[in-house]
Amino acid sequence: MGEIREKVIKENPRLELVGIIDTDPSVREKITGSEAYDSLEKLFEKDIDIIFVCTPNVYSPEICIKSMNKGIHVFCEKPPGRNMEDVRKIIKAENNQVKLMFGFNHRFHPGISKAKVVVDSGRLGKIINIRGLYGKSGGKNYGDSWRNKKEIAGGGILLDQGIHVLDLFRYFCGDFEYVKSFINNSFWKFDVEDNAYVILKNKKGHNAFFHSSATMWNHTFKIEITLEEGYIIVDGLLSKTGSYGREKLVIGKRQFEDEASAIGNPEEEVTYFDRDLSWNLEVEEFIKCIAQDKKVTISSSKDALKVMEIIEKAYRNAREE
Amino acid sequence: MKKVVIFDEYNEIDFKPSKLLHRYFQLAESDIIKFFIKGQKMINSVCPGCKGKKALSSFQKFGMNYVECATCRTLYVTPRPDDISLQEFYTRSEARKFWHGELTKATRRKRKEKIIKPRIQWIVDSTREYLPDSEHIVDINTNQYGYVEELLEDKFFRKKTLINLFLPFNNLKFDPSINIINIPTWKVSLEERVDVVTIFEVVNHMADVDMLFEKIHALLKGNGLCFMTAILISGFDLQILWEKSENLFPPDRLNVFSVEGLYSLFDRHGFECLEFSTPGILDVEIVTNAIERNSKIRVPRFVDYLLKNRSEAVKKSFQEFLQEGLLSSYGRILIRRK
Repeated sequence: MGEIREKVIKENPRLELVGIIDTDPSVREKITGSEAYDSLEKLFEKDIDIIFVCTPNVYSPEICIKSMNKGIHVFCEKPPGRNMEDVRKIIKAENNQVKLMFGFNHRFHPGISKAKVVVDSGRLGKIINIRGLYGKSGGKNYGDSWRNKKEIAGGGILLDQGIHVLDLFRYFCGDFEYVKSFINNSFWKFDVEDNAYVILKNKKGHNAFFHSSATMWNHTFKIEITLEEGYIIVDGLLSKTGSYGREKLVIGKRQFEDEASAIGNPEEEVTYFDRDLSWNLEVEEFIKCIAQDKKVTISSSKDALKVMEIIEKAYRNAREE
Repeated sequence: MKKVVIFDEYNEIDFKPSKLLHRYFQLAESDIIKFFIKGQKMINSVCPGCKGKKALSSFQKFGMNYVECATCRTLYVTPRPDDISLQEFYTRSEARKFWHGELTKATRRKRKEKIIKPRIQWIVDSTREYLPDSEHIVDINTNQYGYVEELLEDKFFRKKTLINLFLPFNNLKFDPSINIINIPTWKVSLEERVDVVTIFEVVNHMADVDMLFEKIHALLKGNGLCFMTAILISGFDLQILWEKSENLFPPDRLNVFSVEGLYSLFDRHGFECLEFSTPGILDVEIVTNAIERNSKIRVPRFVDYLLKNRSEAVKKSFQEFLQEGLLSSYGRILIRRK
């Protein structure tokens, strides 16, 4: 993630990269075009305005807290920690002098942005339900990744990747008060889950279902939103490797049975996207909040806390089952 | 950049009733002689897309020469009338009177439902997405009453300006906030820069497209949006039927851009492309109908085989493939001022 952030920072004319911290000397040796540091304290000696936290989950809270205490604005990758306790600690350090935003970049993906415009316009009516599927296949050295070690990551695929879809559920529907789930680790057999099946409901009457998977051999990202007057599907996701397929948005309008020629097969509009500016757009939003002293309202600490609450409920419910 | 594929149900006849269209062609042909060929100055043109000077002679229609740019393959008329003579044609010719009186009336309901309403939705959605604080929209020279009516109904834009020389607006009820400007585009200057400009089916019949884009650039704020539609020569039915196509005729089609030609035009005038789609529904049907109507039309063997031996479902899939590959002849494009 650090490499993507470095690229985005260098592309943004309003940002200047002061330095990169990495505790591994072999990584520091490869850093070019900016200073390399081995500790946060050494970087603090420089005059910096913003820090991007792209570390494994276990380290994020401490870096966020120390930075905000120094009056430095913080952009922290998702997940915002290993659990709610981590997020609460970060929020405690948040103060009026600094902005804090989390890296839920999927909100800024072109298919999602367009879907949000259509949902918010109200022309397809209210949301009835929402379904999500997000999965990857792991890989040869998957077991070596810190992401699959509970003491470092805090959770498995649901926390690492699934958090994006749960964040999007909240983006479209608001909070979900009721959470049921099953999780297992039957294929990879790590100490964190490789599959999670989550059912959600909220007081507004929205129902949602989500499958987060590390055994999806065909990498998949799909969100389906059913509304009173139609449906929206975001299928595929623009990514560096292209493994999630072309990102496309399908919009269909409900047609009732009296329109005999169109039963169950309504006309659709499909939009294909070929450029992912999500990383740039979310950083641009963060800079806007700083420059205009505007409250962070997208991917805020509240969003981080609420989505972690859903994940903790899912873990708890799965254990109870 | 993005592109849109649309699956919808309508037919060529819904928008192009052939009897009326042929009457329009007859009138246009005699008006062309009256307005352009006799006594009017004709101007030589380079490619309106990429400005390439090398072109291959293609065919003549209604006494005008079509050539194909050797670089970007845009098809265009040269020599051509200037915009002042075109203005005369579009305001005074019998052909255009027939167009507004008969042809538009006959297809009005279907156009409104299938073209105009989705178009307004496209403008509003995309503006919400890219420039949500927009207030002021300007349309340049639409030839559709239906579009004006729908635009007036819209509640998203607070200010609306219509720059139009060609449509008499007497019958429409206007809100006092609507600004109507009845002067040629190149003379227009507004007190403030605007958020959105729309040009629907305009680039095909402008003599000086560079002037149009300079004007749009000057009218728009930084990051302002321009929505447009155009008939594209890179589309299937035009490539197959070429000079036999009923959709290629002067002066309405002076510039028939290829996808590549339009990209050059946008780049030259400081615009970034946000959406380039060819959501046409009719290419396959137009070719099918053309060869049914005229047995002298020869099409490539593969196309002939496809059209005569495959089901409607396969033809529909083929049309979808054309849309996905930007190979339909109807283009819908959104550009942003850099």
